[in-house]
Amino acid sequence: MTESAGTMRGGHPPRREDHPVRLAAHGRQVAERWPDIWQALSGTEPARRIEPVEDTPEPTVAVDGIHLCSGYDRSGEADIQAARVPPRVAEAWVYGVGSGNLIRALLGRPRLRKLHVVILSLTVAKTSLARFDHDDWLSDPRVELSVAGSGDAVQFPFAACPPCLQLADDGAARLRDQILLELDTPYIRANLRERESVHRSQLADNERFLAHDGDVATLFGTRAGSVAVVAAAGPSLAEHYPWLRAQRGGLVLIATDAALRPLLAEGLKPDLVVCIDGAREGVLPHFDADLDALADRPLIYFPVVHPDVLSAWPGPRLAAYARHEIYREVRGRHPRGELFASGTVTHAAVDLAVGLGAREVHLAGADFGFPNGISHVSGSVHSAPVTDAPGIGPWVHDGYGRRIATQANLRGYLRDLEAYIGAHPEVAFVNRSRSGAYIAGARYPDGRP
Amino acid sequence: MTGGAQLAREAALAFRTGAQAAGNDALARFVDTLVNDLQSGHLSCPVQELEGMLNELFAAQQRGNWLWVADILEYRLIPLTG
Repeated sequence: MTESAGTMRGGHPPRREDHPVRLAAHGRQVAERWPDIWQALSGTEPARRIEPVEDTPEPTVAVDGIHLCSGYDRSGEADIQAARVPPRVAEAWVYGVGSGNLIRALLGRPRLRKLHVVILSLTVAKTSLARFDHDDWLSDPRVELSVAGSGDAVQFPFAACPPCLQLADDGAARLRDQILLELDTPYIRANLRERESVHRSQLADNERFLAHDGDVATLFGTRAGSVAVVAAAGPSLAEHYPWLRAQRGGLVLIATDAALRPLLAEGLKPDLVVCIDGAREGVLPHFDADLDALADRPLIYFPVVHPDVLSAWPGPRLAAYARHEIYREVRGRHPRGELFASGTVTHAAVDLAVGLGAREVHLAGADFGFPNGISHVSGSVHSAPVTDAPGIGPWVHDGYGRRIATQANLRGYLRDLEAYIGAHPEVAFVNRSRSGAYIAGARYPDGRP
Repeated sequence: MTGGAQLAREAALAFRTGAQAAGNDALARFVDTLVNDLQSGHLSCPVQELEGMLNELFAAQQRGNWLWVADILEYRLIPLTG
């Protein structure tokens, strides 16, 4: 249903000359209830590019090339977004002010007693306050307005305004990523379910290996107080080769499968190798190398990996399970230790390092993004140029506070790793490079966060 | 509603709620369907107009302008392609 522009429900962007008046009026409302937020908004620079979009039935505004709401049916769009919040709840969160329509849609529910509106971008909020009607919700006593902070966690139930996620301020980036991960979770789960039949088949095939292979739990606690390095296949891994050569013998080197070939090519022999992915075509090439030198090195694996990967390994194999329903039955027949993994082998490698008893876990090549214009470290099977400019697509901060291009899934893995690190205060995590993503909770080698 | 239109609506719905992965997946399937329908002669529409819309759609997708992607799908491409 399309409401005409100018109705209370749909709101309307005023003519250009109205902006200062409207902003001032909204400013008074904000200042009265949330003076600190108005102070922050007042000091915020306007967006670099604000373009009215007037060739659609309902005019809208684009901030830095991103439309703040539909140009065809703002209130219908808001209803779709609001539907994420169950109808009978008394308290909910809205991430992003947007055009105000989503907030309005939720406040239209009489059962709602409290609505937390979280500003993700001060610039966008200021632009919107100057362009759209916000009088009603700003004066609604059920509304609590706040600005996203870097330590904020996602609150439930919530609905989100997509352009505000896209245009989130740097300080809201972590929260934004957590929100996006939540929004993508149903899709990710559906995809995993689709792959489950393949995984179940490989799991059944692998019982012949499982019956004879060792248990990752036999490694737990065996390197108490050690320094472990997790080598992942991000581009920055190459920065650490000299350091790794100099340290050899003094630390435990754990390689993810994708980092194996690049390490071997540099003459670096990992102590342990981890593989968890069930995709044969994507994983088997990582083991296409001269592996003879690794005949005494264990491969730690989840038993959903393809049997060909297990057959290719020349040394001992130790099985581990993820906390997943797919392993419920096989666990009874073949009890093995558990490793954390939420989509990436890097998680499992880090959890293995912690399980060993390491007091320090160094992360090398755990970039969760594409520094230096490549996807993976040179020599890794999937290494390819990345042409996406940071800022256009998904991004994360590197260790210098700059934006580097990434992919949505990598960003999700990063946030899950940060949550894991936060749950393990007994271990010191060190991010070896500032080129890759900044990892909250991991300090840098110079001791600085 | 045609299969292509259903996919376009599915993509638009996902983009409006911020579900980017689901939206991009449905969008890819919609474009595949569109190409197949064009090649098999099941779709007749002004090709130049379609090309212009798709260019605008992909540019918006690359920028992450999700609500505009949803608008183009729902209010321009579905009416054009039936």
